[in-house]
Amino acid sequence: MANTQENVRINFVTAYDGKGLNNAKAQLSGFDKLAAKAGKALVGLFAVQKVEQFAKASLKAFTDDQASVLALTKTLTNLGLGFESTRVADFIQKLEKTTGVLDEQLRPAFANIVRATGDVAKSQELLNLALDISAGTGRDLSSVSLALSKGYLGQTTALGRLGTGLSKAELASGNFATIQAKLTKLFAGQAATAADSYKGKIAKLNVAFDNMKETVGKGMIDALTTLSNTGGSLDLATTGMKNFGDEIAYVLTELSKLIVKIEKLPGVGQTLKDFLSKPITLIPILGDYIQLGLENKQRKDAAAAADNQREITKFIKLNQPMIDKQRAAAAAKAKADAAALLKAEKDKLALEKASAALKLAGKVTAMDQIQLYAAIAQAQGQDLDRLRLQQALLDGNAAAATALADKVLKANGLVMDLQGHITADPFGAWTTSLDNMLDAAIKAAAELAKIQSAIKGTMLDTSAGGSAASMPAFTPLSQQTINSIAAGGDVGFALAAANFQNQTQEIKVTVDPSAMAYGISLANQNQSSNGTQTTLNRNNPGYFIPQS
Amino acid sequence: MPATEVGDIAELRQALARFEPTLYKAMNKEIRVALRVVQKSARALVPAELGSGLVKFQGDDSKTKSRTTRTRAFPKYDAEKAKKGIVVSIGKSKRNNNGFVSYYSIINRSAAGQIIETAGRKNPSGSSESQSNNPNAGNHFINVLNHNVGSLGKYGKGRKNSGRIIYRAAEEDQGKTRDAIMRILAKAREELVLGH
Repeated sequence: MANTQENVRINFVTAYDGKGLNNAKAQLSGFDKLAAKAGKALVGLFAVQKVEQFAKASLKAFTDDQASVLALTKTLTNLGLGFESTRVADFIQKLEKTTGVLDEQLRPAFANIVRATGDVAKSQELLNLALDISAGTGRDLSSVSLALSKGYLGQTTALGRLGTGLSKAELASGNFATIQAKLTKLFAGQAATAADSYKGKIAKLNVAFDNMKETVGKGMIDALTTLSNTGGSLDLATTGMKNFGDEIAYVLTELSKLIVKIEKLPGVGQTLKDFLSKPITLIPILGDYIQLGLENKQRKDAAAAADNQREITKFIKLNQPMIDKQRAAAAAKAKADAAALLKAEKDKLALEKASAALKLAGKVTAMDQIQLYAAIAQAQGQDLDRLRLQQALLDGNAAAATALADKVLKANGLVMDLQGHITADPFGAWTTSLDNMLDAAIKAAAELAKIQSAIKGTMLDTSAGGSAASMPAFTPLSQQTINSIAAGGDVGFALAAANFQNQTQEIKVTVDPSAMAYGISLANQNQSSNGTQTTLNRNNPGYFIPQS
Repeated sequence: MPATEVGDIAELRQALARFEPTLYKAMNKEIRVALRVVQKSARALVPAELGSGLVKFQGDDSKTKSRTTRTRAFPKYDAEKAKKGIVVSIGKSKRNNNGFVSYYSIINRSAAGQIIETAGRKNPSGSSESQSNNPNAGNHFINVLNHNVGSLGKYGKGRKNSGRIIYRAAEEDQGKTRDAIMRILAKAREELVLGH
């Protein structure tokens, strides 16, 4: 069932609309750009976040490290070993580098052990053992160090739980030296081996990074402390900042309250406003004078401005014609500019129109070319040349077009002269003309031969004494023929014919001298054309002798 | 071929509208005249009444209420409305799914006109899946339309290009209107390109 207009619509002219596709491409391109921008922004944001995170982590690393240092130092001090703090710190630092275990872990572990042993050297030895056990068993250093410290104090339960391979008897003996010897034997070199592994190397990198964070964090704290300008005390800086904020807030609040209350006082509010508008008058004695001077100056300035305005008005009045002229010129110029602008716009429009027309025409040419290709595929011979010529013209191929044009013209018996005019072959008619001349000469010769024979017969009859019997037999003309000849106007010939009907002894043929001359001329030409020389007797023009 | 001379219709129309608005208006006017030939013959195919077999389908539907869940009631046939609904369009249509647009069209706009135009396109004997109490109603409806309006005419390929009114009018036109439009477009293009 048709429920939309699209189903009940006849389209007489349809066309493919690539606009949508182009829009889609543009949009995709735009989306790509947007995505790229968003990516960059995200990268930037990510970078900012990372910097912020790193800064926080650095601060935290530094504070944690500082706390652990202080805790260990305090422990050593409490044990009466404060003087060993530096040595312990160096030991921890070296151990951290070699084993890849963070100092934040080493210090608490060392503190656990040293609290039990009360001896720095023994503690260092046990810490190394704890590191080996930790690396060998996979347990954390804190629990191992705690177990060792307890074991050192005689509580071996924790040591047993570490799963180090100590027997119950060994544990039950409570002899820490034996236990330590056994553990040293069992776990010797575990920490070094672990440190040489990839995991250990990564741990070392982690240690280095952590140290860097601590350094950065320390730098940040130092920077804040320096900025606070409080003799290196961050506490004082923070306190100062807080106090400053509080004071500012308090001042602003109280000041606003004060202003509101003063404004409400009768007479005082206006005075306050006057004071605020003329603060100079607040200066005792001198303030009034300064204020008076300022007001005088303002008055003078106003008077000077008024004078200037009057001068300007006067000047305008005096120079009104010139100003009008200038205004008219400016108006004319503006008009000319507007006209020029209009013309430029029209020209632009014309150019755009020409461009559009050319584009439309170009598309038609393309269609023509398609049709030409189709026609060429099926054409042969001269048609093919003609189609190829059209194609060359459409393609703008001048060389091919010239060659093909010559070919086509020749095929049609046409040539192109130097001026580019297409004409018939100028020499083509020569042969025809010569042929026609030859035919005319042959015919003339034949006629002349007849005339010659007739003339010869007459001469024989009059001068050579020929008989009538030698004359050819003539068929008598009918009366009707004679009448018709008479009706034609040639009375002399008609009478002669009538006589001729009755008397056949004598024949007189009258020849028009001009016809005779024409015939002789043709014969002469004919003979000349045939290469036969002829001579003409001037005394007897009716008789000529060909020279054979 | 006319299509060769017309070239890109969209560009031609844009160029005419911009550079030769007078010519563009004249061209549109001529095309309207050409299209009105088909419009007129299509309107002539709209019957005044559909006969006694479809009494309930005819009449005034302005006060009819929908008997289904649809908001709009099933339309009733009114010859005048159906005739007025057959209109000429010389505007650019929306792109179809294949990316084609149409420029010069005849449209059957009225609901009842569309029904009598297209009924039986898909199922010439009514739908076999009808849930109606009268399963033969569809067949009866189509038969009455075939008898009183006429059979489905075709203009183009496929069943969606068939109908009883505008499609049949276009079929009977035998492409004359289309050729006339193409000639008008070609003439306008020539005037624009050659400047005369």
